Amino acid sequence: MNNNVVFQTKNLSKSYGSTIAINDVSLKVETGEIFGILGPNGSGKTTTLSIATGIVDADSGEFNWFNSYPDHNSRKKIGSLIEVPHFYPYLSLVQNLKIISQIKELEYNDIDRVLKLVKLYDRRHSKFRTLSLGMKQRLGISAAMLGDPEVMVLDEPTNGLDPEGIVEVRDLIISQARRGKTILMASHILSEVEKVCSHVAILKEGKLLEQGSVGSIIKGKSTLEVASEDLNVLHEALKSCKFIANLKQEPDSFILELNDDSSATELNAYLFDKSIILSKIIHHKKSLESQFLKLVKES
Amino acid sequence: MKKLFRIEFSKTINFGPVKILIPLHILFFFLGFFAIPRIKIDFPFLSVLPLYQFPHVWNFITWIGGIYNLTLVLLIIMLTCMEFSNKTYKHQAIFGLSRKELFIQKVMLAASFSFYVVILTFITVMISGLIYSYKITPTIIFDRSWILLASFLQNFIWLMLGVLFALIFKNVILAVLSFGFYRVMFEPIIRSLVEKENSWYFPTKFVSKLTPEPDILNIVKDKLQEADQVSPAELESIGETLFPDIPIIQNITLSLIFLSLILIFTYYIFQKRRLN
Repeated sequence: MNNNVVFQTKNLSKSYGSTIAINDVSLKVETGEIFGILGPNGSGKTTTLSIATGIVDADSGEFNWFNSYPDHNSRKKIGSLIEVPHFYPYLSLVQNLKIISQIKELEYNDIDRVLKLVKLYDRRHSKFRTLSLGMKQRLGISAAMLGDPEVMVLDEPTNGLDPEGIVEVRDLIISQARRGKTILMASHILSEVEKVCSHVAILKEGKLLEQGSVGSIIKGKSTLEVASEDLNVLHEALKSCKFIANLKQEPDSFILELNDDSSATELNAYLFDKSIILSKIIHHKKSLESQFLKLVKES
Repeated sequence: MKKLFRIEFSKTINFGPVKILIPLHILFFFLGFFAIPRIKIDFPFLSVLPLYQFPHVWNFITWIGGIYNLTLVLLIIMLTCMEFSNKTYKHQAIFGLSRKELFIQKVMLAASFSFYVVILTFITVMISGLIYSYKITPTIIFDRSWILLASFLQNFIWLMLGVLFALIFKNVILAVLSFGFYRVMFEPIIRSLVEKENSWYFPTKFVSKLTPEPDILNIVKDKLQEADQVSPAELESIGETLFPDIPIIQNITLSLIFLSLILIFTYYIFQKRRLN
């Protein structure tokens, strides 16, 4: 038994009628990871998190929190935000958070801290129904942080937030992770996941395509995009260049992959020796987005 | 348990319809009972006053109160359906409440409403009885006070039935209409198809009879005969047209069986129903 494992699923499957939501999904999340579940809409992200937080029962397979059988008490140790936050509309923010504190058997003295963290302290006596969508989302995040839980489960945490709010939430998540907290989050915004997560799992139509550290998922050669005034001359030079592993012509440029032991500087020097001056040289680093799209397309 | 009660209390006490309907319930409860005796009824031989005197006042107020208390059934249906429409059952489960605890919360709410009715009834009975009774001794005052327990059981059953309908339909209008349809249409129609002596085995009948109507015939009998309006034979024939009473023990037993079934079904639905 690995004591570092916070959350684990084994062959988890769930269907809604004839629709398969997730199929044979096995995940492992370890302490301190920011684990992103990535996938297009309908890929099974929310279903996976709903099973993890006990609001949906799996058809088959199993999962555990902290290496033990999950029950409602294990959920008290987890801060969760699944889909849109649901609070009592006629209660104030403080009253709503008091209810959560009572459920989680916490003192009320953490309420002010979390409201300040999400910048809702000044609205603490407002009714929930008077908040904007972004404010509701921030209240959901504050509820998840109540009691400073070791693990947070966040489903689309930046939903409905303005750009400033997105940056704030992203910073909040990163700061929680720096304090050693484990975060399991689902998102379909690839740039968000890439900026925040240390590990990812990619789902498509309920199937797990790949999981691992972000670094290992986006492994592989990066590409260069080059162009010059005379594309024909450039093409001839590139074809005979020994640094190039792969070459593809675009309408007004060339996309190429270099050999492992070669660099863009060497390529530039080689072309300069042939009296070719590059008008464009762009280094395309491989992104999670490109890898995600490739995996989704291949599947 | 204390935690669950506190959570349910804070949700309930701040709920808009509760803030409106509970004060109205109290107001009309008191007004209803204290206004009627002041209405002059022009029958020399018939007065409603004995109904407000000990010990008949216990029967009368719990009997009439049964109608007022349907307001509480409406409230508990609204409170239960509200949890589904706001998706707050899901919310509470995510943060660590078990489905069993969600069930216990609503049982506690129904029990609290029933207890509130007991308190309200007790106060009304005492005020009314002390004002209108000519003869007051502890034996006369508390002779039929046991009926408060029967009233508690009756209200608890109707409130839990309201919760069950709310869980089934998840919609206030559908749940209220179904509850009303069951009590006013469905069961009476079925009951009319069976023999009169077997009609006691229908829930609306045996639960309603937990707080039986006052024995008006006997209360007014002396006055009627004094006034020489009706002969004893005529009174007997009127009595035969009314439903016969069943022993209270049998009534309570049937009610407890019915309550157990409601609780089992409600618990089962809480376990199986999707919370989102």
